[in-house]
Amino acid sequence: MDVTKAVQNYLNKMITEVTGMKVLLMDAETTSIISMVMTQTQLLQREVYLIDRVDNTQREKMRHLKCICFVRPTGESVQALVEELRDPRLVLLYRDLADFSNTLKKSDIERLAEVDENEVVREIQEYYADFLSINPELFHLNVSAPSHPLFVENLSTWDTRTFSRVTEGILAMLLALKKKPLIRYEKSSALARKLASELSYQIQQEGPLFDFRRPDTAPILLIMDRRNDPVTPLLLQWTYQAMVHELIGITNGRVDLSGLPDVRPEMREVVLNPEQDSFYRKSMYLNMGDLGSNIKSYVDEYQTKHKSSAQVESITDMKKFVEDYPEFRKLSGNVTKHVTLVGELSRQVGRGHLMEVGELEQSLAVNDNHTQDLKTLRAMVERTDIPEDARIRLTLLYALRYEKSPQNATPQLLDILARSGVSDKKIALVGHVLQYAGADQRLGEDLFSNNNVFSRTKNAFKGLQGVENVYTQHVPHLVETLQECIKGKLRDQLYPFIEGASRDKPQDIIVFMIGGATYAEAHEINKLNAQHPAVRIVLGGTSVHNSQSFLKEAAESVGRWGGASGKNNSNTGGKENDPQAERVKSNRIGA
Amino acid sequence: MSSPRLQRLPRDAGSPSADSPLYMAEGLSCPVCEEEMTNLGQLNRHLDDAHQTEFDTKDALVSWFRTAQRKVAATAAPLGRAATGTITALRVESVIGGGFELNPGADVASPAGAGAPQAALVSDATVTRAHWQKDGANDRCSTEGCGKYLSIRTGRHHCRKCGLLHCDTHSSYQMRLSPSALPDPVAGIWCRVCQKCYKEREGYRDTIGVSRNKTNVFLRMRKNRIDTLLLESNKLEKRLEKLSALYAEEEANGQSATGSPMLYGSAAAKSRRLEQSVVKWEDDTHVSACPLCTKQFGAFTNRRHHCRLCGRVVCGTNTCSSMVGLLVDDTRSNGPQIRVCADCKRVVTRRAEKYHDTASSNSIIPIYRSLVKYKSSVDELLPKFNGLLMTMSNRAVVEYEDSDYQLASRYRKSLMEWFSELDKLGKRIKLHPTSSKTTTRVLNALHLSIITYLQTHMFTLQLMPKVGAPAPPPKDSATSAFPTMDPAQLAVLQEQRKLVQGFLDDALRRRRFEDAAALRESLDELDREIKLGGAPG
Repeated sequence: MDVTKAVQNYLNKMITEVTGMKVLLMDAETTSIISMVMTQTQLLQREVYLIDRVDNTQREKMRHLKCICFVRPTGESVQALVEELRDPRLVLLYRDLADFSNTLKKSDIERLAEVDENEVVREIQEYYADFLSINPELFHLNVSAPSHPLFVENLSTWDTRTFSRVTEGILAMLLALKKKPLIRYEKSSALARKLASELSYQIQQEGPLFDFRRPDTAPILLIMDRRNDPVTPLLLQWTYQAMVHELIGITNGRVDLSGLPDVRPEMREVVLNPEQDSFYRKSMYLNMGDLGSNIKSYVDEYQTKHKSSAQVESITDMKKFVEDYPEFRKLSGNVTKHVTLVGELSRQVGRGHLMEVGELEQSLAVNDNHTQDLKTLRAMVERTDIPEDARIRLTLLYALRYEKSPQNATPQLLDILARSGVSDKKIALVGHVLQYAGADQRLGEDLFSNNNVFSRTKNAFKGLQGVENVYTQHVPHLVETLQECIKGKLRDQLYPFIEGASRDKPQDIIVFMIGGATYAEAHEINKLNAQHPAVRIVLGGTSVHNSQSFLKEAAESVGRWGGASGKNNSNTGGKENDPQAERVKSNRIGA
Repeated sequence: MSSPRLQRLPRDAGSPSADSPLYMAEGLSCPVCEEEMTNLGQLNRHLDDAHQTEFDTKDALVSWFRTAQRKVAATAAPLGRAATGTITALRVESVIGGGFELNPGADVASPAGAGAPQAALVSDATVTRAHWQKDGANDRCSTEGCGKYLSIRTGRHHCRKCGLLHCDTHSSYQMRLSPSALPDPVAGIWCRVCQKCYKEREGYRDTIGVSRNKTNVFLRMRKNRIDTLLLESNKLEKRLEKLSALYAEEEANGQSATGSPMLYGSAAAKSRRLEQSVVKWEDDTHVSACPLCTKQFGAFTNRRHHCRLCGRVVCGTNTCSSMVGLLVDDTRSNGPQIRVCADCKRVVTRRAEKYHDTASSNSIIPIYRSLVKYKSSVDELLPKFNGLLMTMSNRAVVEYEDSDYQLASRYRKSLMEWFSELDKLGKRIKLHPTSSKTTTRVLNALHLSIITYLQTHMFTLQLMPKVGAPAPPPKDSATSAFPTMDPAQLAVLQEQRKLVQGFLDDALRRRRFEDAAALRESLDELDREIKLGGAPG
């Protein structure tokens, strides 16, 4: 169960089956899929000398190259291929191996057959590499608002286009991993149920495709909804990968550093890929402290190498130097990259006082300590030396936690925010998220465990065990669910099976998070996998969120539901900058 | 989780002894000193009195429970050993500390389990135990890299599949086994197995995903299309031939009749009559827009044209119709031409295009061919060379006359030759004249691939062992004031100098100045060495 390997294997098979000089044609989506698992050098080694977009009409005739097209069978891609095959002024392909990620409709094949008058197509294959793998145990589908909104009209209806994309993505992932799962879903989420039943239907439809070696016990596909845990994406994370995503942002394995002050030209955009970067692989799950010492030893290692290369005294040194040089240069680039990244992270943490923020965030998320937390929060929300986003996040955490509490002071906090100059649009986010994932949406589960005595006691016990690190107290909701699942004790009432059932302890679990997973959760999955060697868990999501993208998604979705309050929001946010209106609204929500 | 105090336990306290007296049916003995007790209460008091200070109560209870349990099992079953691993034993462990629990036999999801509810009652005792490892006094965990001595603390379990003994951690896995202890996912019984058996069962590490070949469907569809296309193109080609024959006839007639240019009107009318005799023209009035580009026809702006091969009305834009030379083998540019719509043109010229294209070869191809040639020769020889280096590096001194050394230097020479050829190819590619952007990209990629290939494959060449002290070449080294180098070594230096120079240029180009400084220093060093070594020679 390694999603990265699965995609790599597909790609290898595709490329190595054709010998000679090759062109690889891709569409936008497959380009990002491939760039996650293979570098250009690796492609070059496999004699792929030209990589191009399938919809590029500026290409010249290149009949001496064999062509591999790897596209998603979307309308646009098929149309581009049709053009490619029809128009003799463009490339006439000597030999064409069209590969499709995901299932190809019969009508599409027919269209291609219709235009292939020059008989250039040699083979058509369906490969199910239709998802982006980030880590071996984390994948996503790059589906998020605004291009792919989750909902239309209300919170329990899928957007049709997104729905089919998500279904296809998950089916492809199942086929790539060769799993025919029992599907369980979070009962409180209508989206999860719809997706679960659609997947189950599709798996039956594609019967022969899903005919795998029978496992001892069926793998579990667990479909969860982000809205049942809005807290995890809002918290500041302190592990390397998660931090980079939260503070700088990772898109398709790339980090854009061009916004940084005095950044070197070659560091404008850097690639973070655990496959190719051993330092990153080793330290992506380390927290800030361990990371600091790790990077120091990395720099030291580099310096000793650098020194030894600077002091060449004998021929043997020289020889060694020449041999090591290419490796050394690679190392030098890598060291610079990580030093720049970590430097930027610590700069942001220091400048935004994020350690303080993080401490309060954890306290809000984990401890039931209203009076004390509110006091600290009030003081912090006022401070202009803390970034606006951080203050919004804090207010949000408070609002989510004490939403139903009689002492809820969210309106006052919003007041303070408005007074300290935070724009109304940003303040409105609080209302949006409460609408998106407030207590009424979460229904089934008690995220903060502040309702019943039993969970309170459990919390108290947790407290007794002592806190290792104040910044990492919060454990995502997902973890508890998975732990029960591993023991085979996940409650049917909360996570019903769509079809069939099993009391066995699962050996393979695939979790899919509608509305986006987070790197924090990926880290937890990594830990769980290490703790339970008999179980393999893979996490997927519609996208991978940081707090900003999560807030954006929430605001976007709420705006789309277009209910009375939704319209209200856009009015106040857009036309008149009236904090009064905001307050009225949030009062209503808070009450 | 285990307290250090617990290590005072006798190592094999847990292993059931077959000769334990029968009166211990209740198995009550103190886990620490193994003093026999009559009942729980007494044991409790004894623990409080004798061992209170030494013990973590929970751990003690765990181990005590285990001992007691094993003893009960040992006395209950006639074959003491066989019963140690019954389900009850596992249950006790899981309740107290082991955390490992077998799945119940009945699996609701599997049709076999649902059909046979009594499967729940079948314990793993029905799975054969003939292959089990015999218990000894000093057994160790069979998992590679573990090797712990098995005791009550580490746990002691037979893997039901391979039969070897393992500790708790390395046997906390379960899979379905048939009565003959083979994996049986359908009707098997859940059994405790070791890590190795679990992870190395078939298909567990399979990372090759499914794929589905749609080529046949495609080919079938395309065949239909190509068949009709062939018919169509035959028909059109015939029309074309007919037209050209008519034109040729007309031309011959015209030239013989009048030497002067014909009047435009009559000529047009004549050729129209000719053309319409081949195919019937579509009626202008029925067509209001071009069928290909859907543009509206007008009286003057977008005029109607007839395709001379199918008779259709199309517009005159380049993409919809064009003039085609009538005589296929005609080289004259001013020969008779007819208007043909884009569809017909494609059909008619299909075959000609195909021949034309396969005939024209690209200038990159020969470069690529020689690239492949050199690469494959290197790939063949380099492993042999590296192998020789390995064997030689194991020896303390390598003689110059050594056959391995001789062979290696021969290999080295040809490898060097190929590498320099590759290098030359790279340079040639860089200078390759091209006007097209795409070709430039391909050439750059080729160049890059050569460079990376050289970088990754070339370095072992420099690892030739130093020839031993009594090596013949530098015979006069003792007499000379300067230490002289043999030509081979000098060549190595020169080669390195070239490499370093390359790195330096690269570093400068990329503006990596700290690297460049180091490189320059090395370059100077090398120059000095070369001068030193080369001067007297």
